Amino acid sequence: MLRRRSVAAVVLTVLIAAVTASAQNPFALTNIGVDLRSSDARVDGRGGWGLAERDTLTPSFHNLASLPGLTRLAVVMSGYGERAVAEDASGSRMTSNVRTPSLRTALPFLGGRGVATVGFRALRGTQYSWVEDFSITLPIPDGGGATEDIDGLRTFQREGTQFEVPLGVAWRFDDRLAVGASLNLVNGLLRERLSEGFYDNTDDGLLPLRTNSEVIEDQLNSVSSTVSALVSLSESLHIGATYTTAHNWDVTRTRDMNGIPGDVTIDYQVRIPAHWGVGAAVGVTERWRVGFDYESQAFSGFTGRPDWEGVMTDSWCLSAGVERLEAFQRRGGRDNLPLRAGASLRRLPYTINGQTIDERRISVGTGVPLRNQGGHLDVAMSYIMTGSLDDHGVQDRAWRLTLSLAGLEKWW
Amino acid sequence: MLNRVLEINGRGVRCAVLTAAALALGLGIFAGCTSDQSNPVGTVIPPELDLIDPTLVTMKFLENQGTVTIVDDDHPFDLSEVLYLGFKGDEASSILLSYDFSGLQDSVGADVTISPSTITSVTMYLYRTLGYADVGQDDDDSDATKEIFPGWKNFEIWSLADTLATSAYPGIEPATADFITSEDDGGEVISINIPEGDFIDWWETGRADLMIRAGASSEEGLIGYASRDLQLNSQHPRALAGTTVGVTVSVTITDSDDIEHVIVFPATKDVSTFHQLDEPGDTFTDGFMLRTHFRRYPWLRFNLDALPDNILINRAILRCAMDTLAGYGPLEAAVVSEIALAAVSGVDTLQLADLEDAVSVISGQTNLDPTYIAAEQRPWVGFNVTSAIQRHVNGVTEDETCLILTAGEDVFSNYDVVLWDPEFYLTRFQFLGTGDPDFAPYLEVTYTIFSGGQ
Repeated sequence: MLRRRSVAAVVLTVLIAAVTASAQNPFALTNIGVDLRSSDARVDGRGGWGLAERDTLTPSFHNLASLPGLTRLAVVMSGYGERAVAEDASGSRMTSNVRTPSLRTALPFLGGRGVATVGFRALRGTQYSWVEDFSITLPIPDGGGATEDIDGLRTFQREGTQFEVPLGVAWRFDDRLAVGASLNLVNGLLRERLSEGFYDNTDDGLLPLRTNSEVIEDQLNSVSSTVSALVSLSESLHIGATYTTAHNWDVTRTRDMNGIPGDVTIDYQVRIPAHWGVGAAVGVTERWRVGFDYESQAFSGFTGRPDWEGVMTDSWCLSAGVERLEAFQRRGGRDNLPLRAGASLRRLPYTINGQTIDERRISVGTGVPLRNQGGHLDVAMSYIMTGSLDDHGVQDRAWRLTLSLAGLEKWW
Repeated sequence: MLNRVLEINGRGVRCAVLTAAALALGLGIFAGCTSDQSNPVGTVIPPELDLIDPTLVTMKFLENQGTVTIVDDDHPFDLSEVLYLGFKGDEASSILLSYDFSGLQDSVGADVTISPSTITSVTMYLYRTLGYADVGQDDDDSDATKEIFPGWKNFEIWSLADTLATSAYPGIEPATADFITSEDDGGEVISINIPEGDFIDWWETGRADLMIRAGASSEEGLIGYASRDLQLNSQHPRALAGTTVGVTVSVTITDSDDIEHVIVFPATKDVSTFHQLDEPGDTFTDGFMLRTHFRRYPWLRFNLDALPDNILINRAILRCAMDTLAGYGPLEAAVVSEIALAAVSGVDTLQLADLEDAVSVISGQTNLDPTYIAAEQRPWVGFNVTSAIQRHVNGVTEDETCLILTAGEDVFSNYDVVLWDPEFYLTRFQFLGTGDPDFAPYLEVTYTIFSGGQ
């Protein structure tokens, strides 16, 4: 018991402490930011597929319809650390950050045929910053038209997370069909701060110019709903699907400039297109299986932000991978470990320089059970390539270590 | 414990423990502490926010202006610690003194007799204050010029026709009765020989009311000498604790045993006449001045209509051009404050305490030399009024405000760095007026419009 608690305590401490991040990648600088969704390390380790998952030892929230069958209260926390190198024509920048994109719970009832679930899931993030030197030209007072250059440092910071709180239920009708549904309370923040500080290089050196600093902050909230299904066509073939409705973000925008009173507030609304996905898992042998997911969101139908609409494009993701299932043979050693590998290709929902942006990812992973199969600790390592210097003028390459802890406990 | 766990669950649990610790370490490494500092990477993706470049404007039109005299009841003019003698431009001052010998005749000592036969000499001493100690010294900077305070004057001593009334000053010189003596002198201690017969007359009548006037052959310059009320001994060249610090009459007598005695008589009253004094005009067309000793301070209100709403004042500077030929006096701080227009407009005098309550947002320059001409021959001085202009733009106060130029009063602790208060020395900062085609005062404002303003 002590060991299990130790494991949980160490992992939980790290994950809970990892709420904020200093930076992501440069693609978080524009539009709705970068995708932060990560169900758990098991899904990440096999490339991202999981809609057809049916394992309840390590419950997956990738598809709520896979939750029925649980016999214990499940708590799953997942987070990742990322070490990324971004490059553009000006050079490169290495950033490290840790995030906790997912915390989910599931509560079985009626013997596990039904499951209620609640949790937290990060959707997108807009965290990045840069600094650059700049210069302005001002006339010299009474200088007969002469001017002087004033140098400074321009600092830009974008931050914020879009997240949802899904309140859901799932039900298994029989061994072949399970369904799920959730109401997703969407909230979030998108903030940009641009500051221009001036060096003391004016003509008379009397006094440097005060720093200009402005902030745009968008507070958003919305409600979406998700329905999902899991169909078992045979013992070895499962198909899953999920659909999240299109919904409107109600956004309150506040603009503020340091040093002057009051701010400017406007309300607007954007339309987020529906998201759907299908996936399949096929058992090839007793322990090996393959799977894939395909998801799509037609962001070309995005409305409400004319400045974004022109660069929006349909977003999709194809992920595929293999998995050797875990075994519980006595003295099985490493042979008992699950092994996972996969890859994914994701198209971002916006373009830069008129070019679509793809994120390519390859992953491997494994995991270990906790005592009495009372939970599972999973880990995945991914290498992620986003954008290219040639097409977008900037690219990002990242190593990501995903860690998730699933705890199962009888609650009655 | 570990063995028991292994026995129950096999290697899985041990692996879990080790793996968890390793992964926790791994996540810790990713936790951001090793990130590079922000750099230009990412600037190729333009942000939505785009600031408007700053704009620079100059504003010269004065809506209102004037001069106000600050009154400090604790320091009335006739208790000034410094007496002024000489002239500078159209301004001039003499020193009025009163000596009361009545009742002293019996107290000089039983063996001492003051009579024409015993008096060896009678000398009047003036002590130049240290604010003028460096007069006549050129600045080390060869490109700069510094006015040389004249060291030499023709000290004329006159007796007054009437008893001195110090409350009448500053004012016209009083009528004189007799010319007593004159002497050319200069330097730190001025000694003027007084004819013995004149002193005997004063002694016998019990009093003397005198005027020291700078004679026509004096060099230009208003020089400060210690008065009887001087308390700031650090500005006296010779003063020690208990020393008589004002203008004194020193009488040397020789008694019947041929022993010399020196008797020093301090003035019982003294005051400067400032019988010629430039008064500021109602407008600043021809210039304006900040004058210490009298605490006469100019205030001015610019028309700021050219400033739009929703702006950040990056920098606002009040620039005034000094007429360094008309200015004079020791170093002093010059401070600009924001003050309610109603507090000074149409007001001749303002109590010092009221000034302290009325001003806000101060900036200034310390140790400003009213005669200094910079190497570039640019007489401009600038004062940071950024906060004051921002407050105006922000509409912080409903009251109309203006800017007032003062010396380093106690309330401006950041600028009150010299040893003396503004009523101590006479310093005149003369600024060129709004009518000057090249050197009119103006506000230089650099501002940035809020890009999100409506």
